[in-house]
This record gives sequence, structure tokens and C-alpha cells, in this order.
Amino acid sequence: MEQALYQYAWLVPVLPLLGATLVGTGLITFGEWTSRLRRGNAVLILLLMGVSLTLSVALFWSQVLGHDPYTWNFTWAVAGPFHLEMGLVVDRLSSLMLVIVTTVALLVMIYSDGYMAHDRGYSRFFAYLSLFSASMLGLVLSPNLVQVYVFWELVGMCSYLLIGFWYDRVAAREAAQKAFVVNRVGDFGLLLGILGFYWATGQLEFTGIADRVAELLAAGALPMWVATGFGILVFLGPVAKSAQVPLHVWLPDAMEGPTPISALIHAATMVAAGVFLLARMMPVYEHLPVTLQVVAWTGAFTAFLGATIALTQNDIKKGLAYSTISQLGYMVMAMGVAVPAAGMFHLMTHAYFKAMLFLGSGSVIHGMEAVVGHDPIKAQDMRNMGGLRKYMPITAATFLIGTLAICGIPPFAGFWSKDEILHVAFEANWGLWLVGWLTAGMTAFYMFRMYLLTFGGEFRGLAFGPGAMQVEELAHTETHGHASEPHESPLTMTLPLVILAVPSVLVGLVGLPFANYFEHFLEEPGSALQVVPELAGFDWGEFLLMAGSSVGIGLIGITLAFVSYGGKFTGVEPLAERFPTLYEFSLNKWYLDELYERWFALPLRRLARQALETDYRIIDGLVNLTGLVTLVTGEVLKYLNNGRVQTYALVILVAVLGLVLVSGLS
Amino acid sequence: MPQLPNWINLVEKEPPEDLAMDVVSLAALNTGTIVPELLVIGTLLLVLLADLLSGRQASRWTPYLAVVGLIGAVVSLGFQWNMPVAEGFLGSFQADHLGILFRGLVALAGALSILMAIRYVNEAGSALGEYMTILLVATVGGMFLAGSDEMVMVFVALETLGLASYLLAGYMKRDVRSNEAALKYLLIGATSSAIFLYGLSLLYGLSGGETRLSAIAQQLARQDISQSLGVLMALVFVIAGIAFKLSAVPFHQWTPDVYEGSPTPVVAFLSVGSKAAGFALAIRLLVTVFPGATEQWQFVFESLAILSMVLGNVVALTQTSLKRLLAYSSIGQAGFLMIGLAIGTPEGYASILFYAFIYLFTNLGAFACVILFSLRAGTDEINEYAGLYQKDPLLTLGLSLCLLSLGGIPPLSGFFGKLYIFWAGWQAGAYTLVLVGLVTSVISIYYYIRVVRMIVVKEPQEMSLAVQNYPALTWDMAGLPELRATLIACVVVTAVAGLLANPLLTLANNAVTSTPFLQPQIQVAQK
Repeated sequence: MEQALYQYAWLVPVLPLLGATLVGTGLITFGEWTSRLRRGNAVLILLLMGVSLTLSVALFWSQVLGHDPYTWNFTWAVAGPFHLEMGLVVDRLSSLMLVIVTTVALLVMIYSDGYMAHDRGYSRFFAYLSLFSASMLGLVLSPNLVQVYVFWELVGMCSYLLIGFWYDRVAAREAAQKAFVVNRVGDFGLLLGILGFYWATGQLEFTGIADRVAELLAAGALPMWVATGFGILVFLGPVAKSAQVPLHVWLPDAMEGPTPISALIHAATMVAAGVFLLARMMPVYEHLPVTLQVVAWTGAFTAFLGATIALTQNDIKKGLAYSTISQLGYMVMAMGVAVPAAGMFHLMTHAYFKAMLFLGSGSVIHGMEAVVGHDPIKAQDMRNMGGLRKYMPITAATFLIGTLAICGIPPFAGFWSKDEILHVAFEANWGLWLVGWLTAGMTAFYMFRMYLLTFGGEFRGLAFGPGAMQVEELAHTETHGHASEPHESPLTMTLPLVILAVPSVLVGLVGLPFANYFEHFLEEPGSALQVVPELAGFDWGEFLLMAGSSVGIGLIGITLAFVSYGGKFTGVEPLAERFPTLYEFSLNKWYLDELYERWFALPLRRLARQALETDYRIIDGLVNLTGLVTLVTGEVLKYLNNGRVQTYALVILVAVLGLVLVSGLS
Repeated sequence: MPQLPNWINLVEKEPPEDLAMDVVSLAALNTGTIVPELLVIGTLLLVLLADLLSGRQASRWTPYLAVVGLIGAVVSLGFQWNMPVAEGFLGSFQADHLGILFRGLVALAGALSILMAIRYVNEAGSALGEYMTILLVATVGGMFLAGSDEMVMVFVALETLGLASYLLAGYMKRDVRSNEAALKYLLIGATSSAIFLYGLSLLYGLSGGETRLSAIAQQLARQDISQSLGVLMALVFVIAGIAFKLSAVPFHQWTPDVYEGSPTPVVAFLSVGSKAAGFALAIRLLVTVFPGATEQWQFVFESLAILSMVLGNVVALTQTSLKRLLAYSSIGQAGFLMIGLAIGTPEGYASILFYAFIYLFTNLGAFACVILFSLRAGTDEINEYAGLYQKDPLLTLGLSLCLLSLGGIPPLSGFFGKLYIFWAGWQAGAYTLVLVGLVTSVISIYYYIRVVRMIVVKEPQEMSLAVQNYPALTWDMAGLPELRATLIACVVVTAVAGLLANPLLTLANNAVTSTPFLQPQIQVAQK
């Protein structure tokens, strides 16, 4: 029975792919007819996804019960000594990821039915979603780096397609391009890293690389700095995909995509792929302490930077995006201190509560659109909201649960996982802990600011109007709302919220520090994560101190938020009045976009323009000149053939004499 | 007094003393080596007889007889391939593998030229029987030329081919341009032959009266005069004669005029069969007689190749008549082929064979299209092809594929032909030749594609008058089914021969490695 289960494991990514192919082919060949099916397409894709989910849960349960990791490979390409295999590996890590991805994907799909109900691209959206799920599941099951890279690019492509889903919006197009280009930078590093490791070890499988690297380092055949360099190159992939500094700039812009996409791809699954890859690479990284240091500090800095920017965002989705960046920073930091189990734990809890938060924000936007019209700038601005708790009770309740979870208030899921990370960070380096601790305080502040602005107080609507801080936002003053008050979203949208609330509350309980089933599960021998050092025995005093301090700073943040935003919002930011410079610094995202524009984009564009000029003037000119010269030569030479036989004979005689002379002299 | 060759002595001697001696000497002649040529000669006599006896009635079936005869010749060449290499006529004729392949090419060219000519000759109101007879004579001449190893034999074969070609060029007796073409061809041909013969006579004298090619080389080496001015003059004169046949620049000037004026099927044969025979002669004569002056003749051919590639392809750009364009293109193509000759490696010779095979079908396919178009639209002007794709899809497809293959566009066979010949050149270190070849190939693509564009891209309102008045597509007139079959066969080979190149290349390589007179070259290459 179990063996049969594993033999059908390949269906997990193939079923969503099948759905995407069917609907996609239908859209291409019988576009109108397929589009008109709408619900039909959605049901098909949901059904296939459901089967994938069932299979994933079964696989996961079998792993929990202690089944050995299952690997299946086939030879994909052979060229001389080069031998490339593809296949799938089901171990504890990948089965866990399968469950996370399939559950979130299924719930997001159900949600999308309501959210996209009136969109012209309804069927296309489901095809993309299904394709993305297939790619993500393929990535999770990859047994080697090449297959990881293939699916890595595929999820990147799906992300591009979905960010630019509303391609008639300029901002969406530009965001899609930005995401793609920024990710290319990281992917290039990843590719170089893969090639580097292959060059050094001749291996592409994770454990194979790890063993060879260990041998080569021990034998001194591979200098430490080279291996460290390869490690950092591979890390560049996760830096881009998981939105770490300095390649995080694409993620906030990616919020131009439909909100379900933000939930599925840009919060729960794809951005976590980087963290997942780091966990997979951990056997290699444990031999490369410097690389780990780089990873840890990148993560810590990202967590800090994301939180500081999130403090002042007015767009609800942008705020959540920076919060995602910050939380991803936590996970990467956990990887950097070589405790992948902690990072994976946070990945899991975060996937559920952040997906819920994003879907909740989608629900809010959906409700707001009824009042302010289909303009993302107005519908997503928190200054236009307020008091939504009254109109959207389910959304408000679930959003509050998510907020509490991310703030690290016990017993919600986020508390356990974040505390775990802070704990291991403290054991590795108190500096990392300090950054994480401060970030936790800011997280509590900005999340409650978000909650209070959105759901607290009275509904403001456009009457109050954005533009308290920036005058140009007043340009959008025409009103074309359909209703005077927002409404609660339909059942297909609220149901996923409610379902997601359950793990957001409870899932943390599998990783209680004094009864940590989760880490125990991942650390079992035979899994990729067996290298985790044994944690010291559980100490109640230490736990209370650590947990107390992080809960304490969280509570401080919450209190501050209540003080600042608990009353009637007047459109004036209390922070902005007190620290105008810092406020502007945060609101403008550390001026990083401007910096990149000035230091990278502009010079590159100038270079490209010059290259174009060179191509246009010199190369094209040369080519055209050659063509012209050839034609003119042809015209001239044509007249040598004048049709007179005497001339022909003369030419022959001269040629013969000439040849005699030349060959005689040479 | 120079010693006369043995077989001349035989003739001049008193009649043989008894019959047994006669039989022995006949056996010593080894007549089996020329069985394919004898088959063609027999065919041509039958065609002539049939034409004489039953006049025009016979022209219904005589083309098939001629084609069957030529195919029979090709088949018997196939048998000869598997037999041990033999000398015929006391060494005057060599049935080696290189020769066999070239003779096969000439015979194939003859067969295809007859098939595509039937309708054309009927339309012009000329007698088909005569046309076929002369064409068969030219084919026999070409086949003998590809195998002959003795100076008198070479010259007789060359003149057989040449005289028959002149007659063919002037075959449209009532057409002034055909007459002009024939006259020009004759005059220039005579000049070249004279120079060639002068070269042969120099060799005869310098070698002390030898006429067999290998014996001449031995004599020249023994007297240590391989590098003397006399030998060099002989070399250049001989090359001038051959270059005329190959229409290499600067011995090419007759080509456009003759191609434009002659009947198109004749041009097809000249551009392929006559050239194949010329290359066979060039390889055999130069390698056998001038091993001591290899550098010199390779240098001369390098110059001729570069000149031909450049001039042929550049002047082709400015042509307005498709026949004239193909004439210049054939000069350029001969330039590419000469790369194989100029580098003088076994791979070079093999790639000449391979390229010649592909060029045979591609060029004949293109000419078949030109014939079909001129039959239906009555013109050869490129501008008149505008918009043809709407009226004649088969012709459009065939002509486009053949022209693109001539231009060397993958995956058509012409690309692979060029690929192997350039690769062989690069391997041999002839970088200048290969670079010139590459650049001129690019130029050639321009004029080939110009024609394709004219046919395919034009809007309906830009259609030329000739195409607007295009007759309905019928295939039931006498000779048209044969033309269509030839066209399709050529296009199919053009399309797939490159992808199935391996057997052909193996054949060509085997032919080169197993040919006795090329052995010294192979040994040099192996070192």
C-alpha cells in the first residue's frame, strides 16, 4: 500500500500541470468557448489540486509514521562522462513542503473564485495558478540542483505572468518586468554557483555535493575561499527569490498582481522557495562557516529593513509585502545559524498566517472597491478605510488572529516559531538576536497600526481622502463608487480565511520548545536536516527569559500602536510629526529604489543606449556599406562582359600569360 | 625520336599474324572497363536509328529508351564499383572509384536533362531525336573524360564533349540568340582547346614522347624538370583548358552569354554534367602529371577559386534574367568547388564529390523550374516571377527550396555541401579561401532570396503581367509529366540529401581513399 503511494508521488506536480495544460490549450485553441466555461475550468483545476493535496497529506503522514525517504530517478541526458538525472525525492522536508504548498494553493484557488468572479481573465488566472502550483511542487520534489534550477525558473516565469496579469495596467507591466529582471540577477548567481559546485565536485545532488566538498576541503584540494564563494553564489538565488537585501525591491512592486497571487506566491510559497533551497543546501553549507555568516547577517538586516519600512506604508498590500520581507529575513537568519528546522518551522507558520493576512487584505480591498471604485490606489490605501470591523466581521476577526500570530503573542503560531528563531540566534550570536528582537517590536507596532487603521475607528471613505502627507495623491478626487459602505465578501472568500485561521492559531503547537515534535521530525536521521546540532536540554528559566523579552517588546509595540492610532485617525501620522526625517526615510523605503535607479539602472541604460548607437551607426553602417560596395562592384564588373568574343579571347590570353608569370615568380 | 605509345604501335604495325594474337590483344585491352560508356553509345545508336526509321513517331518512346540506357550505365557503374580497379586500353582508361562516381554524375545529369527537355524541345518545334543523340554524345564524352588517363584520349573525350555542347547550344536553329551562343561557345572553346592542346604538346615534348599521364610524371621527375618554366607553362596552359570547362574566372566570360542564349535544358546539362567531367579531369590530370609542382597548381586554383567566388557572386547580384543569374551563380558555385581542389587533401576531393552530387540535383531542380516557368509564362526575367505563389504552388515550392539550398540555408542539402567543403578547407589551413567563401556565400544568399521574395512576398496587386496571364495548371501535355517528375525528384533530393548525408559522405570518402592515383596525396595528408 505504502509502496504504491510512493509510486504515484509523481502525480502530485503532474496533476496541476495537467489542469494548466488542458485549460491553457483550450484557451489558445478555442479561446472564447473555454473562457465561457469559467466555473467549469475552475472546478477541474480545483479537483486536480484536491487530489494532489490528498496525495501530499498521505505522503506526509507516511513520513510522520517513519517511512524511509523515497527517491526515484531517471536519466535525462548523457553526453560522454556527463550524466544528468531527473526525478523526485520524497523525504520529511519535501513532504512537509508539499502539504504547505497544496493546502495554501487549494485555499487560494477557492478564494480566487470569489475574488476574480468579475474578471475577464478568470479562466486564464486559474490556468496560471495551476501552472504555478505544478512548478512549485516540482521544485519541492527536486533531487538535484539542475532540476531545482529548472523549476526555479518556472516559478519565476509564473510569478512574472501573474504579477503582470492585468497587463493593461502600466504599473503591473513594469512590476512584472522589475520582478523578472531582479530575479535574473539572483538566478545568474545561482546558476554560476551550481556550475561552480559541479566543476569542483562533479556532483549535482545535494548530499553528493556535501560529501565531496567535505572530502575536498579536508584534503585541501579545494581552497576554502573558493567553496565559500560558490556557496555565496548559490545563496544569491534565495536572495532574489526570497526578497533579501539588496534584491528585495521587486517584492513590494509585485503587489500589483491580483491579491490571491500576493497571498500564494509572494507570501506563502514561492518566496519561501529560497529558504527551502537553503535548507536543502544545509549539508553543504555546514562546511562553509563564512557563507553561513553572510546568510545570517543578510537575513537579520533584511528583517530589520523590512520592518522599518513597513512602519509607514499606507498601502495595505505594500505594508504586508514589507512585513513578508522582514519575516523572510527571520527564516534566512535561522538558516544562517545552521538551524534549518527553526527556519522551516517559521516558514510553515508564516505561510498560513501570512496567506490569511493577504487574503484578508484582498477581502478588504474587495469590500472597498464597492465604495471607491476599481482603482488600486484608492482601494488599497488604509487612510481611506477604518471601522471595517463593523461591515466585515469575519475578515476583521481572521485578520486580528493573523496580526496576533505575526506579532508573536502566545499561543498563536507565530510566537512559537519566532521565539525558536530568536532563541537559536541568541545561542549563535547575541547581535543577531538583538536585531531580531528589535524587529519583533517594530513588527508588533506596524501590524497593529495596520489593523487599527483598517478595522478600528470609523469608516472614513474618500470623504477624508488620502493626501495628508503627499499632496499629489489628491489628484484622484473624482468619485465613482457604487455604494456608500463596504460589504462583507462572499462565502468563497471568507471560507478560506476561516480555514486558514485554524493553523494560524494551532500549528505552532507542534513545535513547543519543551515538546518539539516538529524539529524532532525534521532532524530524524535520513532526512536532509540531520546535521542540526543537538539543542541543549530544555531550560524553563531560559525559555521564560527569552520568551518574556520577545513578548514584552511585542506588547510595547502594540501599546505604542494603540496610543498612536487607537483614537480617531485625523490623517496626520503621529510618527511623522515627531521624527519627520526618519519618517520620510522609512516611507521612501530607505531611498533604495532611487539609489538603484541612479547607480545601476541609469548607467546601464546609458551603456545600452551607447551600445545601440554604436550598433546603429558603426555596425549597421558597415553592413550597409558592404552591401552597397558589393552592389556597385557588381554593376561595374557586369560591363566587363561586353558580349564581344574578341574581348573574351583576349582576356583568356592575358589571363594565361598572367598566370604563367605569377606562378613562375612565386 | 620519341617513343610512341604501345597501342599506337599496334595500329601502325603489320596486320596481326594470327587470330589468336588478336584475341589476346583484345583481352589485353580490357574492354570491360568501358561497358557503361558502351551502353550509352549503344543507346544513342538505337535512338538515332529509331529516329531515322520512324521519324517523329518514335519520339514518343525514344526518351525513355535514352533514359533507360543512361540508368543502365549508372547501374553497370555500380557493378564496376565492386570489381577490382582495372586499367582499360593499356592504361588509357582508368576505371577507378573516383572516376566511377564522376561518370555516374555525368550520366545522371544526362538522364535528367533529357527528361526535362522533352516538352521544351517539342514546344520549340525541333526534333527530339537529334537533341537526344547529341546530348548522349556529350554524355559519353564527359564519361570518357572522367576516366581517361592518356593525353590523346583526354583530348578526344574533351572535344567529343565540347563539340556536342556547341551543337546543343545552337540547337534552336531559328533563334538568333541560340546561334550567337553557339558561335561564341565554339570560338572560345576552340581558343581554350588550342591552349590546352599546346600544353599537352609541351608535356609530350618535355617528357620525351610520353602520352600516358603517369609516365609523363615519371619522366619529368627523372629529368628533374618538374619546376622548370616549360613545365610551368604546360601547367598553366592545361589549367586554362580545364578552367574553360569549369567556367572559372577569368575563363568564364562565355558562360552568361551561352547560358542566356542556349536552350534551358542544355544549360542545365552544361552547368552540371560538363562541370563534373571538368573536375574529374582536373583532379586526375593535375595530381598525376604535376606532383612536383603541387604548390604551383594549388596556388593557381586558389586564385581561380577566389576570383570565381567573388566575381560570380557579386555580378549575380545585378542580373535581371534568372538564367543569367544562374549562370553567374554557377560560376560562384564552381569557385566553392575549387576550394576542394586548391587544398588538395583527401577530404577536399571527397567534399568535391559530395558537393557535386548535391549541386547536380539542386541546380537541375532550379533549371527544371525555369523551364516550367518559361513554358507557361514565356519569359526568364526575374521581375516576371512576382506573385507566382498565388498561381503555381509546386513551382514556387520547388524553386524556393532549390534557390535556398544553393544559397546554403540549413537544413537544405546545399548547406551541408558548403559545410563539408569549408570544413575541409579550414582543416587544411586554407583560411583565406574559407573566409572568402563564407563572405561570398552571404552575398549569394542575397540574390537567391531576392528571387524567392519576388515569388512569395508580393501582394496580389503587385503581380507581374506574366503571372496575371498565367495559364491554368495542366499536366497532360506530352513531356510535362516527365518534367514534373524530374522537378519533384530533384527537390526531394535537395531537401533531404543533407540530412541523410552520411552514406553519401562515406561513399565519397571511400572513393577517394581507394583510388590508386590519389595514394601519394593521402600519404602526405596522413603525415
